[in-house]
Parts: sequence; structure tokens; C-alpha cells
Amino acid sequence: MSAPPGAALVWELVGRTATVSLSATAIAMLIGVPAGTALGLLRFRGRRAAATAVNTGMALPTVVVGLVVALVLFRSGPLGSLDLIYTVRGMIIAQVLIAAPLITGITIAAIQALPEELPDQLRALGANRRQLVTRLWLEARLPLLAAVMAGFGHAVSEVGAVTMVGGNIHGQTQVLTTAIVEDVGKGDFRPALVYGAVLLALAFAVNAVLTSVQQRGAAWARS
Amino acid sequence: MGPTLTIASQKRAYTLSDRGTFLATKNLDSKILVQGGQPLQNPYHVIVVKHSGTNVGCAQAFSRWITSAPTQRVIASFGKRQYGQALFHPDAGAQ
Repeated sequence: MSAPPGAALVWELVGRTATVSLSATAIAMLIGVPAGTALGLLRFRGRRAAATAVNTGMALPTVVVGLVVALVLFRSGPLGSLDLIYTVRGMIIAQVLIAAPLITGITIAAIQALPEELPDQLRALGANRRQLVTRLWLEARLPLLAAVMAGFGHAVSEVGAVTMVGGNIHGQTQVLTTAIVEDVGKGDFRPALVYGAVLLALAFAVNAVLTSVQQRGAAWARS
Repeated sequence: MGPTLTIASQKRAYTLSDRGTFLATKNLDSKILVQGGQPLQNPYHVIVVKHSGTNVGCAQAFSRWITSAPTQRVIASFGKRQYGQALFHPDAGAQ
């Protein structure tokens, strides 16, 4: 067994992993929560098909996302001139596509789980569209935070897309999951174990923050 | 080696590669700048290890087979049909 990885390298990987997955989750939230609210609330033709597509997206294999994003970002691809292949920004794009369907899908369920008459009551009380949506999001904040946690969990734990789009370049696009795969491939289990423990700790820290927000909301709701 | 070539091609970077992987990797835009010559030779050796517990008989049989004229001819033509040129150059017994 080799020496454990240096603290500087571990922090570098933690920083890049957090940057990529938190940015992707934030962008996916900005897309997914409004989209899921619209799909849960509005009645329009094709709504059911759209919801089915979103729910299929929740089961999207991350390697398929990686394949498609790599094809698009390759120099020969439609967005090749943007120089995004093998960059952190490219990895964020891939993880947005992984997290957004999850956040959208759970948001649809969260909005539809609210009392059916609530939107009409709010409108009757004179709420405009913005006030209505804000109130619904406050009512559904527990499952909405669960949606964000699920999105982050899926993004931070995936390895297929960040490998294909990021390339696992040391010092540039390597993250904790791709470092684990590389080290195990070399038969070097010790640093892989360290990265695995650190990845768990990162996921725990992020979810602890989100859970504390969620449960504070829950206590307030009951009081 | 394949991922290194792909990333170098996508980033328009320089890299050092063996010919076999270069020919077998698809979608490369890279061009060969330097090739051939003594400094870039990358010979593969066959060495029989005589040590207790090793199967010297089998090792010697493999060594004789890989350096024999028919096998060397197979090595010389390996990959020619698929890649248009040989991936390896046999030199068993050459000085």
C-alpha cells in the first residue's frame, strides 16, 4: 500500500467536487423548481407527456448524459468552438442535466401533493401569480428541499459523466469520484479509501445544512 | 494512452504516444510531428526468469515461439489490413 494522499491534494479535490456539484445543483434548482411547479400546477396539452419525460429523466443513466454532452462539446460537435470539453464548466453542464430532471420530478410531486383547493383559495384571497407561487413553495418547502438533496446526491456521486466530459485531468478536472476510479484501477486502494471517506463527509456536510433548514421549517410549520 | 491522445487532440496539445494506440484511437485531429529514430524506439523484450517456482519450460517455449520466424512474420503484418500500416516491427535476433 502506498502513502495516503497529501492534504493539499485532498482539499483540492474536495474544493473542485463541491464547486462542480453545488453549482450544478443550484442551476438545476433554478430550472427544476419553476419547471416542476408549472408542470404540477398548469393544465395544458402535452402536460402528461412532459411529466412522463421528466420522470424518465430521473432515471437517466449518467454515462448516457456524459456521452451526449461529450458529443456536443467535442471539437467536431455543435458546441465544439466553445472550448468546454475537459473543463470544469463542461462538467457542471453535464451534472445540471443529471440533477435537473430529479429536482423537476420531485417538485411536480410536491406541488401536486398540496391540497387541491389551495391555489383557488389563494387566488380568492387576492394573491397574484407571484404571491401564489411563493406561498405554494413555502407550503411545499420540505419535499422541495428533499428534491434539492436528491439532485445534489445524484450529481456528487456520479462518475460516468464527469469522466467523459472532464477527462479526469490531474490539477484541472479531477474530482473525488474519478480519483477513486483511477486509484482502484491502479490497484492503489489506500488513497481511494481516503477519497471515499472524504466524499461521504462532503455529502454529509451538505445534507446536514439542507436538513437543518428543512427541519427548522418543519418545526415552524407545526408551531 | 487512448484517453491521453483524445484529450491532447481536443485541447490542441502535444503528447508522446506509441503508434499502435495512435492508429487505433478514433476521431483524432492530431498530426505526427516527430517519429522514428533511436530515441523513440520502444522495444518489447522477452526474458526467461530462472527461479525456484517459475515454470522455466513453458517460459522457454514461449520465448522460442515469439522469436521464431513464423511468429515474427505475424507481428510484421499485424494491423496492416485494419490500419494500413504495421503496428509493430519484429526484430528478434537482430543486433
